Amino acid sequence: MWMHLVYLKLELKRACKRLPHLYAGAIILLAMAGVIALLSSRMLYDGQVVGRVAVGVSVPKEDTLARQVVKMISSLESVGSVCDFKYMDRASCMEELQKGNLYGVLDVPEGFVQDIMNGTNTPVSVWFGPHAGVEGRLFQELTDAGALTLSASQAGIYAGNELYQILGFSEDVGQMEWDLNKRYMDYSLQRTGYFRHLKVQATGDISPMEFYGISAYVLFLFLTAIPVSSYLMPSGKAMRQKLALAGIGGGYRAAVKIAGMGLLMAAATLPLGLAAVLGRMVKGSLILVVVWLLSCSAAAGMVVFLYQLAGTFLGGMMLLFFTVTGQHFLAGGFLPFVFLPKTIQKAAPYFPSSILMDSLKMAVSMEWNWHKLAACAGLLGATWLLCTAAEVRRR
Amino acid sequence: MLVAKGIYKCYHRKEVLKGIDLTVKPGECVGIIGSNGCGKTTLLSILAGTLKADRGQVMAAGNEAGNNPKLYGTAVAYVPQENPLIEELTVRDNLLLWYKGSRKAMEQDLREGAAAVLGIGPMLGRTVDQLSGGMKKRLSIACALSNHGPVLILDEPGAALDMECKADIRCYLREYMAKGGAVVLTSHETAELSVCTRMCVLKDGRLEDVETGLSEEQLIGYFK
Repeated sequence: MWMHLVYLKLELKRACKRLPHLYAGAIILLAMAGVIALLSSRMLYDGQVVGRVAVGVSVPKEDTLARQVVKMISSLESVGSVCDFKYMDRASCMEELQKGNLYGVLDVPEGFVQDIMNGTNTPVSVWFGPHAGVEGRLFQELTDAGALTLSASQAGIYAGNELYQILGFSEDVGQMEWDLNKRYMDYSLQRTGYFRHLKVQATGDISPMEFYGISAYVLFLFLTAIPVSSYLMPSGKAMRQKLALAGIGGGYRAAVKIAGMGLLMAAATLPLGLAAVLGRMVKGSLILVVVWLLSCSAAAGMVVFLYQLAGTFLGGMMLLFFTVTGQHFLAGGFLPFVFLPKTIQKAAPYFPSSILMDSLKMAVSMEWNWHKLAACAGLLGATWLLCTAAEVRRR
Repeated sequence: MLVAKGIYKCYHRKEVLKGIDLTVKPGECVGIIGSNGCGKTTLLSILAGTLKADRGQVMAAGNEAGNNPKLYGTAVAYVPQENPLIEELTVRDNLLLWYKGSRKAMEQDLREGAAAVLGIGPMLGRTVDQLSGGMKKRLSIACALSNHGPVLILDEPGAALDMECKADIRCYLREYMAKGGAVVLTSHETAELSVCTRMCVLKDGRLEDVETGLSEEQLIGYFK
C-alpha cells in the first residue's frame, strides 16, 4: 500500500514538473487560435468583421410625419438589432453609398404618409451599394419582410373599405379603417408577445456564444497535452516489469497516469475557469467544480490512451491532433451537429467531445443532469480500461 | 535458495529455452554466458519473476514465481539491462520509491548498505537525467537492492560502468555472498565473471556447466 501511495505522489510530482511546459504551450495554443480566428474572419468578410448594417435615410425636411414613421420602424426589435439608420439628404446618401460607408439607402418621397392614407401608395426607393455583401443582403431581406407585412395589413384595410362601399356604408369607412388599424395593432402586438420568447437555435438550449466557448474549451483541453507529450510516454519495459513485481499493476499505473494528466489539465484550465467566473460568463458553483474536474479527468483518460496506443513521442502527438480534431468535428464541435449529415448526427452524441461538451453545458445551465454526468464518468472509465489493456499488452 | 525446474519458453514458435534446470545455493554466484540472442535475458527475467515461463517452476526463498508476484518480489532483487528509473525526478525520489517511502531505511543503506558501497550519497539531490550512464547503473543496482532480498539477479551489471565502479560492485557481490546471498549474473566480461563460483553456458536453449577461471578464448570455444 505504501508503495502505491509513494508511486502516486512521485507521478504527481513528475506531472507538476511539466507545468512550465504546459503553460508555455497553452499560451502559444491560445495565441494560435486567436490568429486563426482573426484570419478566418478577414478571409470571410474581406477585412471587415460583420457588424451593424449602416443605412442612410433620406426624408423630406419638413415631413415630420414621415420622419416619425421611419423612427418607429428603426425602433422595431428586428430592425434596431441589426441596422443603424442615419438621416441625411439624398445627395449625401448616394455619395456615402458609393464610398461603401452605407449598405443601403431608403429614399422616402414627399407626402409618403399622406399618400398611404389616401391610397396613392407612393413607393419608397431602396438603393443598395455595389459591394454590399452579406450586410446588404441582410438589409434587403429585412425590407422585403417589412414590405410583405405592410402589404398584408393594407390588404385587410382595402378589403374592408371595398366591402363597406358595396354594402352602402360609405360614410362609415373612416371609422372602420380606424377600428381595423387599432385592432390590427392590438392583436399583432399581443400575438408577437407569444412568439418573441421562443428561440430556435442550432446550438440547442444555450446561446451560440456559450456553445462555441464550450467547444473551444474542450478542444483546448485535449490539445494542452501536446506540450507535455514526454510525460505521456509509456514507461520503459524495465520500469513496468519492476513495478509489476512490486505489486503495482497496469490498472494502477494507468490510473496514476490519468490522475497526473488530469492534474495538468486542471492547472491549465483553472485560469480560464476563473476568468469566466470573474467575467460573469458562468456562475461559480458546485456543478461547475464537479463538471470541471470530471471533464479534465475524462479528457486526460483519452489523451493517455492515445499516447499508449501510439507508443512513440511523435506518433502520440500526430494521433492526438488528428483524432481530437476529427472527432471534434464529427461531434459537432466546429459546426453544430444539426448541420451535419444524418448518419453522423446519429453517432455524434457518442464522441468524446460531444460527451464532454454536454456535461460542460450543465455548468452554464446550472442544472444537474445525471445522465450527462454518468456519460462523462463512463468515458473516464472506458478510457481507463483501454489504458489498462494497453499497459498489460505492452508488458 | 533459487531453484528453477524444467523451464521452457517460446517466442514466435521458436523455442528459446528448452528445459532449463538451475539451483543456486546461499553464498553461491552463478555466471551465465552465451552468445547474443541466446536467451540469457529471457532466462533472467523468468528467474526474476517478470516474465512467465511456458512451462516449468521457479522458486526463490520458498516462494514460487507467479503465485504471488509481490511476495516473490521481496525475495528477489533484480537489476535489468535497462535502468528502471524516473528520469525527471531526483536520485532521492527514485530511491524512496523502491524503499516504499521509508526514509529511515534509505538513510541507513546510504550510510552502510549497498547504496553506500555504490557511492549514491553525493548525487542524491541531482535529477536522473543529469547523471551519466554509469551513475544511472549504480542507482539502478541500489534501487534493486533496497528490498534486501536473499537472491540477487543482475543482467550485465558492468555495462557502461567505469573500472572503479565495476571493482566496487564485485566487492559488494562478495560481501553479499558472504552474508548468505545467492547471485545470478550474465556478462560478456571475464573480469566481471571472476566473482562467480559457478559458470554456465546457455547454448541452443540448454544450460551447461563449465569450469570457472577459463580464459576468454576458452569460453568462446563453448559458444560454437
